[in-house]
Amino acid sequence: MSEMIDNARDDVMAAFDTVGAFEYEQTPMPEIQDDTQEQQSSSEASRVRDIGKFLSRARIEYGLAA
Amino acid sequence: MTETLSRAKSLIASLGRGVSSRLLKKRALKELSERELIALESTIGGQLFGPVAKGHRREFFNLDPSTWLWHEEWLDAAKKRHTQTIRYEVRDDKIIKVLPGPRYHELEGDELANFTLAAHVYFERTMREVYGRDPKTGQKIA
Repeated sequence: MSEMIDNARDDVMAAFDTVGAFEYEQTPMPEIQDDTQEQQSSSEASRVRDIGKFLSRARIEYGLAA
Repeated sequence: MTETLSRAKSLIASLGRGVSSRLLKKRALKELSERELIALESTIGGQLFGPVAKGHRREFFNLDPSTWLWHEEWLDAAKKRHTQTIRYEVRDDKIIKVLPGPRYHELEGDELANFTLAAHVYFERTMREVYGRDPKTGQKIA
């Protein structure tokens, strides 16, 4: 009986390991990366837009109206 | 753009001798239209991505706060002209690359980082070399 229980436990543990590994592989990293990507895109877009605004102002203040 | 650029350059070159370079630049810039100023900026923008192959002409410039343009022209062995124009649209939360078609592609990863870096360098250099201003303070460079 003890041996049967040990074997059953081993089977359960093996199954758990398999499921655990599977779940680990299925961890939704892309979703996390998407969030990071969205933040990066938004941040970079904001910086580039600010540069464009500065340049537009520079053309008027330092160029056309110099 | 080429004609505009030539006019901008010749305008600067045609101003009288004996005038200090600062005044020369000031007078020149005063007479330039916004389009001509952008053409001057583009001479710097076209250099930001490395050497331009022989026979190629490259322009890269900021048109307005939400638009950047890349344009490249070249002749092939049969002397046939090829052009490629890419528009970058800066939206609130992303930058979109618009290719002929049009095809739309959101900038991500290295491409996004490289574009942002190019915009920064473009700003730094045009402020110093076109407008004679410190890019951080806006003060005139002595």
